[in-house]
Amino acid sequence: MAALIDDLTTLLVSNSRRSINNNLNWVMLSNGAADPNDNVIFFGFEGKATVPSFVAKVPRLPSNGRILREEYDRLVEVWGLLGKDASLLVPEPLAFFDVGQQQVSVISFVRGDGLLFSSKKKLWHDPIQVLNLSKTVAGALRELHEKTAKEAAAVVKTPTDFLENLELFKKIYTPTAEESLAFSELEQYFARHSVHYQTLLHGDFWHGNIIRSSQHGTLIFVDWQHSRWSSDVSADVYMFLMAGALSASRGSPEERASLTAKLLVNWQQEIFPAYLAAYGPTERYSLLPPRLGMQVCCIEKAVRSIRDFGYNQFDDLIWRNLLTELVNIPKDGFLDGS
Amino acid sequence: MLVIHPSDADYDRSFQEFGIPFETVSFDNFNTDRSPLQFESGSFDIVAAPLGFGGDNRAGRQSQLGKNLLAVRSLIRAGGMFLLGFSNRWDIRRKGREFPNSSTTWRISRSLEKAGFDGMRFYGTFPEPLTPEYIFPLNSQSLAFVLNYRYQHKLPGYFLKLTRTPAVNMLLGFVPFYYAVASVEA
Repeated sequence: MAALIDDLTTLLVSNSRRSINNNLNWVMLSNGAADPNDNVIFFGFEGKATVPSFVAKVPRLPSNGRILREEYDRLVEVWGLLGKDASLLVPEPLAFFDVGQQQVSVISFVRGDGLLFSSKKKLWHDPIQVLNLSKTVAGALRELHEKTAKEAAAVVKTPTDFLENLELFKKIYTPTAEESLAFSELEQYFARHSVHYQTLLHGDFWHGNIIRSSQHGTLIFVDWQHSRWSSDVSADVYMFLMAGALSASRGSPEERASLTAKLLVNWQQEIFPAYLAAYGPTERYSLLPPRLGMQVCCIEKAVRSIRDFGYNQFDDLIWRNLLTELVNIPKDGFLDGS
Repeated sequence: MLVIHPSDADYDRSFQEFGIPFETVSFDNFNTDRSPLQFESGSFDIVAAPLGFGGDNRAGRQSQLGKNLLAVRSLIRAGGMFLLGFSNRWDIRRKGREFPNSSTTWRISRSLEKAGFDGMRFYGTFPEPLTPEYIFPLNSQSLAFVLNYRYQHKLPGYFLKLTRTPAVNMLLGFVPFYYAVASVEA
C-alpha cells in the first residue's frame, strides 16, 4: 500500500484535469471480504483537510480495468454535456492512469448523506416518505435525462441494450409461457413506438447510488459503470422504486420477489402516478408503462453479473423471480398504462 | 512475494485469481529455528505476515519475534518490503488480546529497526486485520475520517463530534490492529 499511495499522489498530480496540491493523504476502503470484482477505494485528503477531496477506484482484478475506463470516459462525457450545472448532479472526473498493472480512476468526493443510509428500511414501508423522496428523485433524474438527450443518428425502435439482455435471459433461464408472452408484448410495444432521440441512462439507478449533497442540497448520482446511451429511459425510471421496494423485503429469493411485487402493487394508486408525474411526460425518448418498464429492469438485473463477470450472484435470482411475479399480476389498469 | 499465514488459511486461490506470483509458509513451519527453511536469501521483493507469526508463547515471545524478523529480513532483496500485522496491546475493546501478536507500535518499530529494517510506516486496520474494511495511515486526520464514515449512523453524534477535535489524537493509541510496513535499504 505504501508504494501504491506514493504513486497515486504523484500520478494524480501530474494527470489531473485540474491543479492539485501534492500534499495528499490517502485512506483505503477495501471492504474486507468483498467480491473480487469489486473495486478498492482510496479516499484522498488535501493537506490537513478532515473531509476527502478525491475518490480513487482501483479494480481488485486488473482485467476489470476496462469497466473502470468505460465508467470514467462516460463521466467525462456527462460532465461535458451538463456544463456549468454538472457538479450539482455528478462527481467530477479528475484523472485516469495506470499504477503498475492496475488502472486507477479518480473522481471528486461528494460530501453528503447517501440515500442508502438515510433511507433506512422503515422508509420504504412508509408511503408518505416514499412519496416525498420519489418525487424529488424523479425531478433530478429527469433533469439528467433532459440535459444529456441528443438526436439519434437514425430512428430507434427497440433499444439494442434491451435486446441483448433479453437474448441472454432466454439463454440462462427457462422463461414460462406467460413470460414468453410478456416478452412478445414488450417487443411489440417497442416496434410500435419509434423515437428520434437518445439519452444517457445511469444504468444502476437505485438509492445506494444517490447522495444528497451537503454542499448544494441536490441529489448527486454516483457509480456510472453501467451507464449507456438509450432511446428508452424505463431502466432508470422504474429501477428506483423497484430497488426501494426490494430493500424492504427479507427472506429467500422467492419470498423477497413476492413481497416486493406486493409492495409495488400497493404503490400503484398514489406513489407511481406521483413519481411519474414528477418525472414528466416524455416525447423525445420513450418511457414504457410501469409493468413493461419493470420487466425491462428485471431482465437486465437478472443477467447483469453473468454478462459482466461470467457468474451468477444471489440477487440475480430475486430479479428473475420478480419478473415472474410481475408477469402474473392481473392486468387491471394503471400498471399497464391505461 | 512470500506470505506467512495460519495453517488453515486459503491464500492460494486469491493470489492465483489476481495473477500474483507467490509462495506461502505456515506459522508452524516458520516459527522454528529451522526457518527460513527452503528459501534462499534475498528471494523475495515482498514478505507479508498480515496476522503476524502466530504462536502464543508469552514467555520469550520478544526474543522469538526478533529471530523471526531477522529470518524475514534475510529473505527480502534490497529495495524490498515487509508487511507485519499485529494487534494493539492497548486495544480498548480487548479483542486484540485474543490475537497472538500483541504489541505496540513503539515496540514493533524498535524490533524492526534491530532486525535491519528501515523506513517504517504504520497503518491502522478496521475492524480486523485479515479482511479489513479500512486501512489508514496512523494519524488523527485519517482516524477521524474512518470513525465518522464507518460509524456515522451507529455511534452517538457527540462521540463523533469529539473525533473531529484534537482529542482524536488520544484514540490513536487504542486502534485495535495495525500493519507495520518496513523496507530493506536498496
